Amino acid sequence: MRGRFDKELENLNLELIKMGGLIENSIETTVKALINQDLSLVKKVNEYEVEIDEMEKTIESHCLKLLLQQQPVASDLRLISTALKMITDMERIGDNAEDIAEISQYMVNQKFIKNLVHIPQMAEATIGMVRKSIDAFVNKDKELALEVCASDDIVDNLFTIIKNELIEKIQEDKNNGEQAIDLLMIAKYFERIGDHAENIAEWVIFSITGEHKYQ
Amino acid sequence: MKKRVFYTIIILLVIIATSTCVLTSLVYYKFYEKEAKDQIKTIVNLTSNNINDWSDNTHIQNSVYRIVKSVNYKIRVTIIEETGKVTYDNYAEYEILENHINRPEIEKAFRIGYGEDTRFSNTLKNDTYYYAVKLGDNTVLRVSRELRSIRNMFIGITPILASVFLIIIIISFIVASNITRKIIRPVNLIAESLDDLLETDKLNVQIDMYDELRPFAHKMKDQKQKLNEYIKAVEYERDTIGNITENMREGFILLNKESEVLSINASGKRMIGNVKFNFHEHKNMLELTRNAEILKNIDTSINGNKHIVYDVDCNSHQYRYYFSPVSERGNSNVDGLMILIEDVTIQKNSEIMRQEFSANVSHELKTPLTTMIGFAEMIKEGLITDSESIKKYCGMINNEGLRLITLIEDIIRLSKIEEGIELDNNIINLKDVSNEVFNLLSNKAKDRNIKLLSNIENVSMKANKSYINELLYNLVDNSIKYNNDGGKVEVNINKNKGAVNIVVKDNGLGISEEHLDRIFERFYRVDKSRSKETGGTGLGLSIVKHIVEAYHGTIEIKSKKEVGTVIKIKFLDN
Repeated sequence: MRGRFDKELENLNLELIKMGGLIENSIETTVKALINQDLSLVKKVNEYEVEIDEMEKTIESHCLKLLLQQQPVASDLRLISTALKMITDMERIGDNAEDIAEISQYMVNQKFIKNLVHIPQMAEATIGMVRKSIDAFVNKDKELALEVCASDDIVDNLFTIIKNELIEKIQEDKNNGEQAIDLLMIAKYFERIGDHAENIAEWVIFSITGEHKYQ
Repeated sequence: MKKRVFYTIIILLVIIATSTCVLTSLVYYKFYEKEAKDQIKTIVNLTSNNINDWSDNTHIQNSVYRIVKSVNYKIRVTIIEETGKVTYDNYAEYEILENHINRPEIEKAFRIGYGEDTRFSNTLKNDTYYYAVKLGDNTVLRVSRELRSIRNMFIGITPILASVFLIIIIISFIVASNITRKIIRPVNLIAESLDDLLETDKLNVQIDMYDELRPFAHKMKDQKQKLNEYIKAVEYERDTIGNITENMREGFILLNKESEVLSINASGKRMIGNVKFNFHEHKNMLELTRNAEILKNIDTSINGNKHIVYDVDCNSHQYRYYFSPVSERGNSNVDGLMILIEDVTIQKNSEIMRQEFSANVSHELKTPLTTMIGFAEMIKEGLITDSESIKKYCGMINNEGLRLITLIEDIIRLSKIEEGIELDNNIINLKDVSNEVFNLLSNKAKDRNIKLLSNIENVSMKANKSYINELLYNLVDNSIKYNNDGGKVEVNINKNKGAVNIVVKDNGLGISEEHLDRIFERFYRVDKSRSKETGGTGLGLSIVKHIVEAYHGTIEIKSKKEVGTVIKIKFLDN
């Protein structure tokens, strides 16, 4: 009985990693679509999004089944509750990636009003955060998870910088306004992704130590 | 074994003890019975001697009473006449007793003088032993005794027997356990000292052991040796394979059907970008990498049983992944997957360079041709009529043609140097060669008022003259071309510790740092817009570099924008 339960938990673990991999790939593709102005990649992001949603449902029902049938306790219960919380954040990251892809779809044929310097930096930082948070989950690495929480500030700072740059651009030329707003939204989405990655990292810490920042 | 030996001995001893007891009691009983019967006989004889007057019943009564009193058990005395009539009995009223003539012992006594019998007595209501003797006056004296009394006597000794039996059993327990220990001890000793026994050659002397066990021990030793050899062979094989995979430059990963990592080498971890991966802790491929493309290819390869080659970018390296399904011999089912990873960054880059080169070549070749065709067409169409203009344009066509030839010659030369042919080397004097070069370029320098300085020792080396000429010409030509009017070019050639040093120095335009890495590339131009003006093919430095490499020399360039350039070439003495 216990053996089967362990197997189920292991499967749950792997499913979470798989979903983590999907969101990583989704964001990376999104960033490429944005910077290279590639329409075909936008389509790919949409495909990822469908898969991520599918995955969320699968994991959720899996978790509920385990909770009801096995009535887990202690660290098993923590893993399952962590899973339930993590998939929500991961699904949100998937949504945000899709949102960015959607906006960049309109910019495919536009010339950028400025060289994209900080947005790729921000993208890289958020991808790093997501990757590290999933790595922390895979390796049950508390230090790495804490690192993710700390690096959220970098993303927040970059957002402020981008915002100021865009304000300048609008002041220079009113016609820059439309794209500036689009870029601002993209930056905001990246900032949101960073927040979700931080949430994931916090849940990873919870699953390891049993303590959550806000409890 | 110990238990078994113990039980065997115990059972044996118990059986012996029991049978001894039973047999002894039987023998003892028989003996006792005989003794009892003999006693009766003695009593009969005594009685017959004691009694003188057989007709006097009172006298008989007294004698019998004496005798009966002298033994501690009940006896019955009967006197029977010839007719069978009982004349005396100390037990029953003889008057009412039936005729006894048919009793076997009495009948026998009348016949042969004595008789005995054992049977159920109606008078005593019990199994009884009878003994009869014929007396002188034709009467028979019979004495009888209940057998039960004999048995009762015998039963009296059974507690003693039982306690003896118990003692024997206890003793046999102790003896059995002792014997067992003694039997087992050598075997135990062997087991305890088995390690020593097998490791060393002490087999014969050291241990007190059964001779019957020696072959067994020898056999075991042989087996152990074989086993050791076998283990060594297996370990060797494992280590060899382990070392091979571990030291492989290529990444190697082995997966089972469930995508669990069975083996991975250090290169594999590095190339897949997860150096910390520990496959004792983590099993699944998902924990190694989450790269969707790799995972997808693993799935396709395992499920579709097909070999896949796939390129992946990771940390600015290009890796080529070979996914090969593994199946047992003669079985079409996939049992696992082998992944080989090869770093193809260099190949990819050189491929890119080749592509750039052919694009450059075609561009460089096409440009002069386009110009020539353009002018020729104008002339053909009669757009240019006056002879002055025709002369001018034909001159341009001529120039472009010459440029084209120079370019093609450069390309041919470069490829020849690259292939390493035409290396018929002679001892050449570098002073002569450089003088030739200076003669060729002095006009060009004079036109722009550039000073050509030289500090050339009388140095000679073994090389192909035209190559060295080409090398110096290109370097000095470049220094003049990319110089300010009125600048200077300095050439130093000397020999130091057997190495020939050629240094070309100018105070010209210089090259900014970002171009320094690429100036030896074919067709690479620092300032693309100026190429037309200064002439040249963009192959000069490339040729220089190839010549230096052909003679295993080194080339070094130092340059600063608006300050000048120094190129140092060093040929080791050949």
